[in-house]
Amino acid sequence: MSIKAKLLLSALSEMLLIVIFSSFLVISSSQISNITANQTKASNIVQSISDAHFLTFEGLLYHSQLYIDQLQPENNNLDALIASYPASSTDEKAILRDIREQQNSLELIFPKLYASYSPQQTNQGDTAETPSETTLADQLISTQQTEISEALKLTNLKNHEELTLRQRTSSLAVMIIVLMFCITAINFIFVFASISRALRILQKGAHAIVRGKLDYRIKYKRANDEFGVLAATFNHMAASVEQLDTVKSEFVLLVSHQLRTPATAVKGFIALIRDHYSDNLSDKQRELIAGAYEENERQIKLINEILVVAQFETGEMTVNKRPYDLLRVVKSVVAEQQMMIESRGQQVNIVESTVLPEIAIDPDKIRIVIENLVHNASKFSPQDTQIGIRLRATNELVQVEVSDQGQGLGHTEMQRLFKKFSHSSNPGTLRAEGAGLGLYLAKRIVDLHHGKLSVSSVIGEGTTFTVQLPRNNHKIK
Amino acid sequence: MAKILLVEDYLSLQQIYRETLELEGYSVSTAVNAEEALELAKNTTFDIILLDLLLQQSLGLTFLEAFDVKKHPKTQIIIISNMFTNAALNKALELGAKHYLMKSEITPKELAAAVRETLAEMSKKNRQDEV
Repeated sequence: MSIKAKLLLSALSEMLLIVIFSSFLVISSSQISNITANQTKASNIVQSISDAHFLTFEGLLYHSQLYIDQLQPENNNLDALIASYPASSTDEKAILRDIREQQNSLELIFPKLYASYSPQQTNQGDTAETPSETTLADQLISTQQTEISEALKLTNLKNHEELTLRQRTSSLAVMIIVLMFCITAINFIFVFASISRALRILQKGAHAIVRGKLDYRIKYKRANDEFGVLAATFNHMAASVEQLDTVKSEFVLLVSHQLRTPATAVKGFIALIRDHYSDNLSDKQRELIAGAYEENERQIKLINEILVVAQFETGEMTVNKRPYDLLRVVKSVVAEQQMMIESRGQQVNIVESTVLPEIAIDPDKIRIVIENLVHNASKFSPQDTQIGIRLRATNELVQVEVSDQGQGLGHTEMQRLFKKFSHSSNPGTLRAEGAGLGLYLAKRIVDLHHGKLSVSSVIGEGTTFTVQLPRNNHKIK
Repeated sequence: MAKILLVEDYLSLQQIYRETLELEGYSVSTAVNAEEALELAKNTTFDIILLDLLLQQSLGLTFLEAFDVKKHPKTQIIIISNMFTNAALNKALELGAKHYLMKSEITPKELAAAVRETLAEMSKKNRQDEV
């Protein structure tokens, strides 16, 4: 599955969770609002009941008053009627008086009834009440209280439901948040781990290429995801680089060969004249021919250096080690450079401090190292000085020191000494003639032998280069 | 007079080495590729064959393979080259070449000296074999 798909899936699952969470919240809130509506209804009911009672009282009061108000003129009329009756109509008068008494009792009951129902007056009710009135009032109050308490119960019940629902909602919300966090974390870890693993694989490949292992190819199993595509592209790129490198290497080899062959022919022609056809030449002509030969030699040396460096760069330089006597290499190099050294009035002093064992080296390559060190020692030393070569062996290594009595090297100069195209900037020394590759090459060759090339110098006294080569194959630190 | 076959495709170098060797008193035949060299080697037994390892038209190794050193015990092969890989050199030594010289490193006179030394070694060995 591609990284994009993984991330998409992760985002979708998050979105799904958010949707679930949101709908849950919507449902919960609608439930809560339902409960709230019920509560409102309940409180409305309580209010209605209370209102109803109040109206009842009001009505009662109103009607009582009305009744009393209506009763009063009737009573007056009744009194007038009784008074107007002749004394003879006793029976009628008796009936009328009876009615008048009933009226009076009603007149008395209504205010009491009102007082018993009126909330303001209930506590003052020390007035004598008839049992029927009290019972009626109690019944009414009791009904009212029952209804109110039922309404309150309903409200409480709804309150409790709301609380439970709120608790359930919040605990579920916490659970969902924890779940979302866990899923996010797992997703993150999973995606991050796969990205990190892929990056490590790519990084390893890139390092290999940087180190010059151009044949390195990335092995990435998931060919279809973005990293798989990247790995394939990387491998394609590495293949192109390898191909280009091969082309470059072949080109360098071809060019070096093409350059070296005519240079070698020039050397041959000049040597032929010098060695076989110089009998009739003037001294001046001989001198010019010697100059041409020397320049040609320099040219060949430069081409050789470029070639060897190119071989190093393309990884074609290999060392073919075999047991060899280092002193033999040194003596051969000195013999070859004897003429140049003597022409400067310099002397070479070879000292063996110990008996030298044979060690496993590539003599052709080590020769390049010693050649460069001896050549530099002579080049950077004044006339009539000594070049010291000291050889010694320990149980672990064989060491050659080449020292001159030149101007010495400064700290900065020593630091860039083994870098490519590094030239001496010391005043008073001869302008460097080479490509500035000699010491770079020497160091690379010694490194290939697991050895160490180091330098020490004292300004005004001279410089010493030390080559240490291991007797076993252990790297010298 | 020792007979030498010089297999060299770069004509200036061929001229230089031929002239030097002739001045040293050797009989020199020249070839510019493996086919020519094999043709010459068919009719003449050379004491020394100076063989350029990287010839333009055909590789020196092709010549060595076809020539078969074992069938020519009286002939010594010296590789002269300016450019060879370690693998090519090892193959040449495997195929019976005795020495190798870098052309850019030696003067014609030094080449003649190497030829002289090889001939001396050969005659010494021959005398020992006779005794």
